[in-house]
Amino acid sequence: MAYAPTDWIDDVTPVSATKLNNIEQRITYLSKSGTFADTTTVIPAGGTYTKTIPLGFEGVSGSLFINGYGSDGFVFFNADPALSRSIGKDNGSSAIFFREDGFLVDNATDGSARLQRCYIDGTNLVLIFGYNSAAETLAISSCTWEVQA
Amino acid sequence: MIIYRKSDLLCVGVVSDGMTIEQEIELNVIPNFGGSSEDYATIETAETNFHLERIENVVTIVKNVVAPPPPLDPTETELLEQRLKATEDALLQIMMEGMM
Repeated sequence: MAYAPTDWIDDVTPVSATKLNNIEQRITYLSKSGTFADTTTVIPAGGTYTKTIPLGFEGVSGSLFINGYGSDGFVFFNADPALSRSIGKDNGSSAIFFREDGFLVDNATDGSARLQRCYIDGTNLVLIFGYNSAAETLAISSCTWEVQA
Repeated sequence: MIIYRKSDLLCVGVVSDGMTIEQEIELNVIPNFGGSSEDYATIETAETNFHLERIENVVTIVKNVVAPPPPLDPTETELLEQRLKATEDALLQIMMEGMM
């Protein structure tokens, strides 16, 4: 649920537990972070794998650092899947790339499965992996993410 | 904690920090691989390169013999070739702009 601020007016607006808890909850939910690793999940042939991470609040923007199999990327995202952006490097290359939606980071054992999309969907962080027609195994040795309200 | 499909021992997910097994299956396994929570089970391992086998009716972690090759850094020659190519491209661009 979106944050509903109180319009405070001197000597008019009563201070109540409900209003104070509303502020407390907002402070608690300013941001959330986490980490995961996944070197075993198999993406079905020709399909995608969607990883959903519950946030517990409506996020606005965030970032993550993901690495594995020599491919690293720093991804910026918000609630619009088309606005994901990343900078990083590919396996075996020293070149730094900048990528937009559709190919953010390469993280698979054969270098073909990719983090295609990353965005906030309401109270969830959504990561979509996929690309090739063959079945792929993810190679994410670590992914650290943070989302702000 | 690895989540696998009981029918074919396919690895279908890992349990992330802060998530229960039930949450992970509900949110990330069933939407991707279908079925119901009864179709999946979990197994613990520190291995990263393995597959699952049913040995004497027990699901067992089997380490893969062939590991993926480590990433290679470019050689000095490859770096020099890249710089040379970039210089050539820049010179070509300057020449073409001069002709226009």
